[in-house]
Amino acid sequence: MALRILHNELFSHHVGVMQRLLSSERVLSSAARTAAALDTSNPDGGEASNKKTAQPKIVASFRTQESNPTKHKESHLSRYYTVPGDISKTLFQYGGLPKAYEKLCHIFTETAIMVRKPYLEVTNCIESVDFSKPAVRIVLYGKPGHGKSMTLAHVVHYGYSAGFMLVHVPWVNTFMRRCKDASPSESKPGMMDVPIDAAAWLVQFRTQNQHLLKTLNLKTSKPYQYGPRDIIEQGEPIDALIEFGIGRAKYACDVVEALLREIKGFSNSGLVKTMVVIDGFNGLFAPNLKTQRRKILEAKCTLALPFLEITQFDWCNGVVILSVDQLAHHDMFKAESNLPLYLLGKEGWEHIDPFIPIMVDKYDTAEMNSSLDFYIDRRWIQHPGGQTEAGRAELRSLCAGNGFELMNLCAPL
Amino acid sequence: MSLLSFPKMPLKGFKPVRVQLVFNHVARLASSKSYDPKSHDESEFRQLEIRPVRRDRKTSSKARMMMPRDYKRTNNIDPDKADWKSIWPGPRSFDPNSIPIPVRQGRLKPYRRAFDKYANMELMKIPSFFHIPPTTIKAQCEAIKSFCTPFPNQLNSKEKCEEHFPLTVITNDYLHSAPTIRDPLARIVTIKLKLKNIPLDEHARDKFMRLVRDRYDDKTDTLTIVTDRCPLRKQNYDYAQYLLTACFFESWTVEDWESEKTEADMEKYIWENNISAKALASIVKWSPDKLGKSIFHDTLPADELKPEHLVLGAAVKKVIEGETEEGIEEYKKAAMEVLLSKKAVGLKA
Repeated sequence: MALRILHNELFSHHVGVMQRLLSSERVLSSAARTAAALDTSNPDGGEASNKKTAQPKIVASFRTQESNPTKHKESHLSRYYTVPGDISKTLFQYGGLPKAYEKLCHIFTETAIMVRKPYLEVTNCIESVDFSKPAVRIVLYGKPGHGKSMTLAHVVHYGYSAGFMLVHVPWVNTFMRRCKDASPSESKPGMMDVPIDAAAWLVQFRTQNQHLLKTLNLKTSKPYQYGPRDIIEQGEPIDALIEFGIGRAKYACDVVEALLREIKGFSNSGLVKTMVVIDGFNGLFAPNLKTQRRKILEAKCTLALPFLEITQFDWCNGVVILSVDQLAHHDMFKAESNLPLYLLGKEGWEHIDPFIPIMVDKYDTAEMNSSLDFYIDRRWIQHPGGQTEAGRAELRSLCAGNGFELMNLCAPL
Repeated sequence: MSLLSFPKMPLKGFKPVRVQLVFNHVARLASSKSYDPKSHDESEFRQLEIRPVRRDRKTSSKARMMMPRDYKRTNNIDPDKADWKSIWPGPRSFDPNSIPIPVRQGRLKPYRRAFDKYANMELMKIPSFFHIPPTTIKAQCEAIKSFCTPFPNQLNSKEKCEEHFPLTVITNDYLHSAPTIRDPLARIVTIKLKLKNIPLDEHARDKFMRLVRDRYDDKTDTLTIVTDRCPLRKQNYDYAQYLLTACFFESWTVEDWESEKTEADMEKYIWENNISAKALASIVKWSPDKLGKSIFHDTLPADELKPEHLVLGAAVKKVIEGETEEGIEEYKKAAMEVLLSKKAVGLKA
């Protein structure tokens, strides 16, 4: 525990120490698992075996060296892979991982994600989608803490690697329930703008799609006029629109709408393939808006509209992956079920019907073991009792397959 | 009570409650003294009674009750053998000299004799059923048997009765030993009918439900109409008949405004009329030039509906009517069948 506090307080100093401790390739788990750790039959042996000069790496059984999510398949199930540092920074710099896990990633000095069944189901679906047909909607559902957001993070990485343009909302309720600022909308009377959150989302969009925006040279399809002097001409690069939205936060909500319509147009004309990932999608159907200071505004949010629009099926060359979450419900303490119809309500259900629901279930035994191995390996479980078989069994039964619970349980160990 | 018992008090102004307390205390002391450890069984675990419970109190107080004196020979007649038909032929108020059995009424009190049937005002107030004991009923039934026809033996089961006589009419008759034989409650008529016995199509049934509202019980499929607004039973019966007839024929008529019924007015979920079916039609008929236009088409005509579309419709209906994990699983399979071009490779569990 003391070490943990030190990490938090004297972080800059200790990260160096931890890196030295953890950077070694020879990461072995508990003594009982040493035999399993010498995993020569690792299916992805891949890079290591290709380079004949390099020494064969010893990879722990709970890890896979395959860091390209497009290549993840059933043989990688319940193993952790590491998102390369630069990609992790590009994708999850502005959110995308659950807050508590993001902290852990910082401490572990790596963004490790477990390959799980729902992820493979999603990618299977994406691979069998006919991109000339309207966008297919895939909805993840499951109990809080079972890993919907982690699966979405994995899917975002998949989309990035597969060359999709990413329209990624890390958590809807950051602007629906905890918006920084709200002001009456000029373009849509009676609704509220959330300028700062909209601008922040544009920054995130720009970061995640930097490579595509540079190479594809996308142009606006029509002129946009926001103020008397704020004009974006037809045929200007799309970056100009984004830059304008970031610079003039007042118009950021309108810019998001315009941008997403442009993206629909690009996808329709086949310039890009788009992947829409929205976590906590049911939050968009909240009847009101709540600010960071807990003030409830009885008006709809303008930023919700473009995201609702892009989850419709009136465009092609795209795939939409959503998650519905009890915690994203507008009154989360009263939410009784975690099934999609209950959370989305009639309006939400009709908005995305027909869709493919995919359940994110609790950890099975293999996933639980590999998760415990991972925490022991990262020295997140340092207590000797936590490393014995009895301790592991206790942790397994205490968290009941809930990944979030397990993380919390291991924190003081 | 107090009037009679007053002169018996030995000391005027002495509170009887106090006497009782003193008595209790003495009794307790006496019982504790009389305790003999040897008299108890060795194996029995003795209880410590912090406040000793007096167990013999109830029986002793009952013993002090006194029944009324019974000195008349006429009271010794066996009631089963008595000819009640002639003793008490019709309803009338109580007469102690006619009734050949000892009867008492009034609360039993300790040291006080109970009130017997003579000069007992309370017995005269209440109606009695001496005119209809089982023996009299039996005799009367025997007497009127010659005027009755036998029950049709073809109707030997409840199902057959229901089949041939679907309409049940329920009325209540009231008998009084009172100056008037009329009772206002006797006018109420209840008719019951199982709806399966009357011909209704889907529209007519829907309309019938709306007309009768909570008079229909869907668990037993029974319609119940109660009429009580007219003063006579005959009138109420006719009115009930009229209501049933009117509802039936009204439910079969189709008014012009009924075409304006919207989805919110529907009794149950019909997939074909819903936005779900329209969305599916739009996805099936989609072309890239539709961007930004109204996206919802009309529903697919019956000949274009493929079996997988119908499966999806059934799954949606099932989910909307009651969401369960199995229902969602079913919906997932149906949706994958419709939305994905090639079948996604199933994962091994």
